[in-house]
Amino acid sequence: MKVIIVEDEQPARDLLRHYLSFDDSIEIIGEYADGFSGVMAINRDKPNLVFLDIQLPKLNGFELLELIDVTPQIIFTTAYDEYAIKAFELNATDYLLKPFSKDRFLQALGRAKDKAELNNPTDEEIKNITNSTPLISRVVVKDGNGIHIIAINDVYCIEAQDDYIFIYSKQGRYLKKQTMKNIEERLNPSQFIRVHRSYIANVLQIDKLELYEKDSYMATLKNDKKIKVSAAGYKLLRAQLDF
Amino acid sequence: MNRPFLKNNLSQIVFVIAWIAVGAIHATTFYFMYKVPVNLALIDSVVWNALFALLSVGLWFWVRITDIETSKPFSIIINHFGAAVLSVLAVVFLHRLIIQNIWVSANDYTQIIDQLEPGRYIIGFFYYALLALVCYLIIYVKNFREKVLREAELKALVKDAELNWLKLQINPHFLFNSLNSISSLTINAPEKAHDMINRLSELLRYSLKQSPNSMVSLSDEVENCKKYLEIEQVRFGNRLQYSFSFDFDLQSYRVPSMVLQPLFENAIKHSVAQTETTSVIDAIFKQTSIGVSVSVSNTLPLTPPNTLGTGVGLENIKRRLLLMYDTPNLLRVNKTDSEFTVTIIFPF
Repeated sequence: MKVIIVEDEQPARDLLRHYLSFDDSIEIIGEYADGFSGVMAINRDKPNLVFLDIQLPKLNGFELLELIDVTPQIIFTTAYDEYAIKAFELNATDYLLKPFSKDRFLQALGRAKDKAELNNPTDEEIKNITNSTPLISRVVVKDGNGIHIIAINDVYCIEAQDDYIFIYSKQGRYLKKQTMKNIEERLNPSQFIRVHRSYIANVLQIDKLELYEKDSYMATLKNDKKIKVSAAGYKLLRAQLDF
Repeated sequence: MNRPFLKNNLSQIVFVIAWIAVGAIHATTFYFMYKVPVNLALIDSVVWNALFALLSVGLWFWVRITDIETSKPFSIIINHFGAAVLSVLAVVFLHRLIIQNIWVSANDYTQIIDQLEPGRYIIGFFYYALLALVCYLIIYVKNFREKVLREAELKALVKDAELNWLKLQINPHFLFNSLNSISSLTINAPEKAHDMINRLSELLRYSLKQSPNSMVSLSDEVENCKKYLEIEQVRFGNRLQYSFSFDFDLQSYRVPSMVLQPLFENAIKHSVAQTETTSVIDAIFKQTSIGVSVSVSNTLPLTPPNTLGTGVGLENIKRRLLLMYDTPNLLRVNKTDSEFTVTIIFPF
């Protein structure tokens, strides 16, 4: 079984390596200290199992999962118990709370091996996480040039594009595979408003709002992009901006 | 609230009744002791006491804005003496002017007024002194009552906080991550594990000993923060760099306990934990004219932050500082693209 460890604290990595050393069927193919290099390594080396911390530099554990193209088994290792539900929604194999005993660790490892033997790779998409997710402060996107981390305040608007979304930000336009509904749920509802079936606008980036046709409006954003605002969207904007 | 003197009806009524009582005594005394006609005694009393009532309002506002605890007693006495001379002269003069204008024909009574004039200066002085004392007394009682209220609030906070206190001081994530590090060190470096258990124990013992209103020496507080950082250093290794700089004896200053450690916890959370490169935390202690200033700054990672900072931690510290020192703005935050700095002033 090929294993990758993504964990930012050296002692924690040492401990995982120590526990894994008891099992000959395990081959550790890499250890990474931040989410960024974790994503790269997982996509490149395609491990069967990843031990993943949640609080990581650059990209956190959940963001890492959004960006990987393969679906290895995941065992979370973290001191935070508040993410357990979310982890299981993501079909995680196990969730180890630090500090964990050797017995507990071997139990988790056993579970992963059982799952692997069933030859039933987790083909469910580990994407589009649901409502137990806390509001996000940044969006992560991967494209041909690499991984981009966009601060949510830098986002002007989000545009629907079939199963994808366009994210318009100060750094440029990015395409991401995610549904409008899903991203909408994860954004702060007092700042990001679904002004139209196809648009979510950052209210802090709206420059101008004009009547366009009867019952429909046009918002001009600070990047000069114009987006449509439906009657319902207009109502939401009014309620939020209090005008 | 701009005019607390007349802020409610009760103080207005008390004010008016008090002056009517004084006026009545004044008129009665004139009528019986100096055999002045009743109408003149009344007018004399009304004019005299109305002038002093006006003066007392002015005096109140003046006394209220001068802080008796920070001004020198000598200068307060001199100021009041000067004010007393001027205002008594003015009152006696105005009083005479008004009486003569109302009572033009009464030459006889002008004589009586003349006779009484030297006495008026003395009585006027006496009035002024009494009014000033009353003003100070009211302010003293008011301050005292506010202090009692504030202490009650502090006590309530203590009660509220004591349950949450431990949880607040000992961040569970820090604790469990540290225990995990110890668990790892027991295998490869038992000596280090031993050290870390001792440090962690000291840190916990210190936290347990404190309560929300306890004061400790600044040097104890700094020692505690250093222990905290040493433990974090085991977890983060080279990623964490820190320094403390001061050029005076920290032992001689007393500060509220457990105010500094959260600043370092924040720095770790928003800086060290967010980047795999080195983060630097600098703590600078300075003596200033109003107290000791402590600045804790940390470098910021280039990537956008992972968590939306709620500022709850800093708000809690602010609230505690306000309750303990009764001075606003003792905590200030300064953020640039590359650095985050929190400065706290601990007044003397």
